[in-house]
Amino acid sequence: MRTAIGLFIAALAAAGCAGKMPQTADEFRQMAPGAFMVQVQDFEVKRAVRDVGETFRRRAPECLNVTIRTTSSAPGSYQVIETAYKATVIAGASKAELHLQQKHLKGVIAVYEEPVDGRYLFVVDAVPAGARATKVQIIGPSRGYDVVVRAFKAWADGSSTACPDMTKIG
Amino acid sequence: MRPRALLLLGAALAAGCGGAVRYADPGGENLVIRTELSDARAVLGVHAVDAQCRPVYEGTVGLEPGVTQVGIPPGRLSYLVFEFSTSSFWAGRSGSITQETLLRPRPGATYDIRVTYKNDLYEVTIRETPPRGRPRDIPLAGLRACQR
Repeated sequence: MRTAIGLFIAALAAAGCAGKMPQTADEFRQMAPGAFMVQVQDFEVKRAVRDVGETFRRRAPECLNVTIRTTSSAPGSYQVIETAYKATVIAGASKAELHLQQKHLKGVIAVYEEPVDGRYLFVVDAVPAGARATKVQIIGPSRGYDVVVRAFKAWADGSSTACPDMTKIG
Repeated sequence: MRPRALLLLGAALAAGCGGAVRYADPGGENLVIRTELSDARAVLGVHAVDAQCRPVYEGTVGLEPGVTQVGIPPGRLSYLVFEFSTSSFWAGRSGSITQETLLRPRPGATYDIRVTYKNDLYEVTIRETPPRGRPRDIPLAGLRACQR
């Protein structure tokens, strides 16, 4: 996990934001695309944006507002990391947004000044693409968080409402 | 001395010194739990809830793939904690994650609970079938809902 976090910080630094962590979802949208180890995925689902937003609203707090304690051990080392995640959903008739923030409580030192609820990890935007279709954009780390991306995609296309196992990320 | 100490340690672990005790099922079997797991273990922790909305641990039920029937007292608020555990020997890491809900079973009703953990995604859903009337899905409610 520490490696992935280090790479993510390096990615943001490479994007020219060294010393300035995005403080809002909008800053994250502007700074993250094009950065090393940051991925922007666009896709379309055959559901109305209102339904996509409703799924985000129903599932995101329950699945993502968690504090995770992970332990990893290797010969000669034992590490405990405690991380809190906070999801924010803004959903309406014409758009839906899901923000996921990550704050390390133990085991990782914050290098830059972070927002109160932690660094922005993902920003997901959904906008209408016709009467019964929605264009979805996921901005987030390009590796280490596959399970979260799979959950977001399933929530968006309506195929599943399962929660990602947040102990598997990083 | 050393083998004896190991035996004592093994006996202590077998007796449940890890903190989990087997849930003393009062019967009734109003929960029908269908479990699907891949690369994970699952258990259900059953708690009563006191007047101050604090959970009072009553015991743990192991959930094997397939159907497990459990009885919890009807009419009383219970707090159910589904815990999924995974571990990777090669990666040298382990983790567990929980999904909790309050449930006050109605007398005569049965609760079909689906517990799944597949491809690192997990879900718990509850469907209530009353003695009369139509089945309905019950949203999961955390302990905070007790105080409302």
